[in-house]
Amino acid sequence: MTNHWVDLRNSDVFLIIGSNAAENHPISFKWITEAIEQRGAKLISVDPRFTRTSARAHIYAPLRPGTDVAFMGGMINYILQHDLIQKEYVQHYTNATFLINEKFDFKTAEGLFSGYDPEKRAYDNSSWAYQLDENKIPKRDMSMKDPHCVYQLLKKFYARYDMETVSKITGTPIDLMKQVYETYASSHPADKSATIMYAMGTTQHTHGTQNIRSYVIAQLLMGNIGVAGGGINALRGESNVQGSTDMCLLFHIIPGYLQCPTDADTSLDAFAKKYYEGKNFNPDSAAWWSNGRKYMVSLLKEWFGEHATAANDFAYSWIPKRGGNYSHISLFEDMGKGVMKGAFCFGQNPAVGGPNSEFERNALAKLDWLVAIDLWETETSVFWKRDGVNPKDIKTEVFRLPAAASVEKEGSISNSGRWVQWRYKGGDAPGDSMDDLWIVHRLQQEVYKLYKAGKGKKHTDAILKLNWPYDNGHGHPDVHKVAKAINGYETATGNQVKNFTLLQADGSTASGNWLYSGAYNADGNNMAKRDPKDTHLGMYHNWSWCWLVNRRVLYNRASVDLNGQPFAPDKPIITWSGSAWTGDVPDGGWPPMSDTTGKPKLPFIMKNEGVANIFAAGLADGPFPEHYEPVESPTENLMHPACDCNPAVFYYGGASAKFGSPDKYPIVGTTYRVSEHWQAGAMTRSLPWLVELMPELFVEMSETLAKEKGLTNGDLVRVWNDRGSLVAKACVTNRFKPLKVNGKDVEMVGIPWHWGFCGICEGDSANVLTPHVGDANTRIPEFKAFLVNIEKKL
Amino acid sequence: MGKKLMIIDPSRCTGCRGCQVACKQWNEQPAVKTIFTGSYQNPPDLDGDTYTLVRFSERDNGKPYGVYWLLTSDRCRHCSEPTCVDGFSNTKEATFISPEGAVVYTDQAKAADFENVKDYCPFNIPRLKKNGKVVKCTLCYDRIAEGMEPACAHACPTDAISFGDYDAMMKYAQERIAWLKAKDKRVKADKVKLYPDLPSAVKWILMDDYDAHGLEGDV
Repeated sequence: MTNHWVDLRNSDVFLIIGSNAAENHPISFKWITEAIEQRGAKLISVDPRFTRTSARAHIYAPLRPGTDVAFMGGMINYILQHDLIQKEYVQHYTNATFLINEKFDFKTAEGLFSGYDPEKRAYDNSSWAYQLDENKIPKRDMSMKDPHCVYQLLKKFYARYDMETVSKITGTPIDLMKQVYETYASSHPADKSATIMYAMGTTQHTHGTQNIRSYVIAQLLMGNIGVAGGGINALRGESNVQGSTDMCLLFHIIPGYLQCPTDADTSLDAFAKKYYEGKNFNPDSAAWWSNGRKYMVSLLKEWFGEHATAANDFAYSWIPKRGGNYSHISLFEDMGKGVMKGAFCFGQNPAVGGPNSEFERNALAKLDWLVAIDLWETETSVFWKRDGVNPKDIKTEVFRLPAAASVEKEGSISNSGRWVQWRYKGGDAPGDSMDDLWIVHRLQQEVYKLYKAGKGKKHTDAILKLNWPYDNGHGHPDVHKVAKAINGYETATGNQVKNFTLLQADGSTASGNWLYSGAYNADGNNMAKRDPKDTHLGMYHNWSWCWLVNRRVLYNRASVDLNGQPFAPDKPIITWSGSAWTGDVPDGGWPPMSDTTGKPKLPFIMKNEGVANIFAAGLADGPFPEHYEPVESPTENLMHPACDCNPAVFYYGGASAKFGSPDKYPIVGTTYRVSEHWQAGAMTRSLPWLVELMPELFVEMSETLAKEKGLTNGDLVRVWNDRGSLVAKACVTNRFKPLKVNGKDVEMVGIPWHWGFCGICEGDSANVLTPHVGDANTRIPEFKAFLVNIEKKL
Repeated sequence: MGKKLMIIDPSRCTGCRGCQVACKQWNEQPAVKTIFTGSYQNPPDLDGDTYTLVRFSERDNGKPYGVYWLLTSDRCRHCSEPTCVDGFSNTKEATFISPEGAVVYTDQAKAADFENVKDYCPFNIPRLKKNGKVVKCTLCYDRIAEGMEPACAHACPTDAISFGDYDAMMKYAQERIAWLKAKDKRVKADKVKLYPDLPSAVKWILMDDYDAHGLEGDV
């Protein structure tokens, strides 16, 4: 979230799309309800299914799974045609005024941007670049009339998304679409804000990144990012998934969202220059990532301590480099080929949660060893004894380590709003269950011992010279020592640094994660602060700590005009007093843009241009979001039949690629979660009170589909495609309706993905049906739109 | 402590069923073995181990898409002059009314009187537990005597269940009703009313007819 949970109460319009917040983030509705009742806020639910979120919405509009870009493209077109933008914001704080290379083009019939290479299935994005002046500063036309400026390109691009066309693609009736567009666009006046709340319904598509981009563009046109009650708000699916992403859960980054070096980045200098340095020539831009080298060196100093010196490139050569794509699907493809020999699964259950899960269960059998660390027996840990498998045939050695639950250990947890909250240990974990930190600590110590004894041959420096001073003297790591190391310190004195602005590239500082620098400094453990007094607009600055430097709304300098005065005087996040900022911690303390004596900086400080990107040249699949069908779709792409799916998607081929077509599988399938179960179910399918509420796998469908298949409520249904087959109870409901897509009725089924073959309520896993294909940028699997068929199970 | 009042406001309910689980936890009730029958509502009804549950009621919304999905947390009304207590052959031993207005069945509420008690309740609330006791919601009389709110109200994230002093809560309910009728386009303004009519310690702000909410008894 650019904003945070409590800030929802400041919103005037909620667009909940790709999220079912009422069911999966119930507490959000505390603040949404308050905004509806106190501010008269409007709630819009756009979802293929009518959910418990829809039940509370003022407007519900259905759309076909995987058509968000078309829906939002229509929105952008509506906004531009009716000139409903917040002009001052768009002109000054976005790249709408920037001129793009005259060679940039989008071929509407082909559905391709300029620079496409069909052999590589990839773009050369050189024609997507800004036009630069003689000082290498991007050229701008503040009147936004130049045909090559982003604003004009945007207007032309989305003119194709008229409501009739959009409705034929999405299946959304035009009157409902119009209601959504009108209500959302009512947030364009400077003192109004809308928030977009999204989750996995948005991201889990082969064009998931572009789905989010389409929301961002709309929010920027409205002037809604950086303001109270606004923002682009990803609702995270696990209570600490924000923290784990910040720390480097994903394969392409290392702590603090630093780039993960690749095999091509052969020295620290080459790494820093490639990703961080010499990118900005605009004196108005802070371009904060230009500090990347400082954070990287400080990270290396924390990892290797005194062994990391200027002379040895701060031990840069000792850290592993990325040689390819290591996303979830790629890992399991490699596993299936026998490339990968061992795996640790910490609190993860891919045998249920992974796409094409039967393929992934079979891939686990190719491992020599697997370590499964969890609270309960997970399907992943016993994949070798599921139905239809002979344990004798599986050679994988599986180690199961019992883990402590979150309340059985001390540490921090980062919520979606980036609040890092310290938790004390509530009680001891049962039996031999231990916390993850202890497990990793013991692993490090054992590996170190083996290397010390000469039994390790590779990467000896990385193991033997690792800085690991976290033991509390009793064989257990001290979580406070770890937290302090993450905050960072001066290497000469060991004193904690105040925050990341003091981190250096010369080895004089160390920090495990620059984002968290300031969390545990000389003031103490700021994450443990618990002052319930509201400091300003629900920001509670003295309750926990949030990155960066306790700033509660990111990009908050976009909430003020050029003179530093709030666009929304009744909910000012920050205000320039003439000499200083009041309110939230500003996104940089520079004076407002109209200042002529100082050195003002543009508000989007993490972008090299200093402004938000309506046109984003850095993505694999285009600078503007274009509608592409899911890989499995019931229809051709009405925008350009010649190019159905995202042309930059990577196809793995091989044993996992069993894509189906609508002649055989005419029904759209989608997956989701319910309030009563948690993720892959290991935590909740063993709890009787929750099993009582949601006891069995079910499949939701319309009355028309049920009639066609001869089904009534509670009947057993078989759902299948070429990847797998499952049996579930029918849930026949008017909450599902067929959608009119390109003149044809398209039916849909919805299947919660919580079930598996362990726990006290067993059931088939929805993911036996989902495909091994992912987003062109992130490779997140396309869980949310695929094709199936169904029949009554006799 | 004075009389208390619980207001249940389905217009704020998201059907998360935190109330249902909190009730089981405080009252130490076992889970019921259920099956999926086609509705999210589970267990399908109140029972000897389930004193409160959210009713999921789908009604036609008059539009081509979506439904009018009423999510309503149901439980004993805690009548100020409860008729059910007269159904017991040993009313004095089997029941008491707490100073806060909670109507409570004790361990002496025996199975032999169950059919009678059930007949005497206009809202179809009492249930027979497997151990032979007649049971229902106690309004967490043991919590409220200690100044706490009932477990369900405490768990509710949206204040769809709220609890407090009778007069203050009645004023709050009237304000909510006025707001819903005048400002909230999501509800049927002409249907908004306080339910039930008879004096009680638990009341609902209805968005539709009581039986559309899945509630029983109109007195």
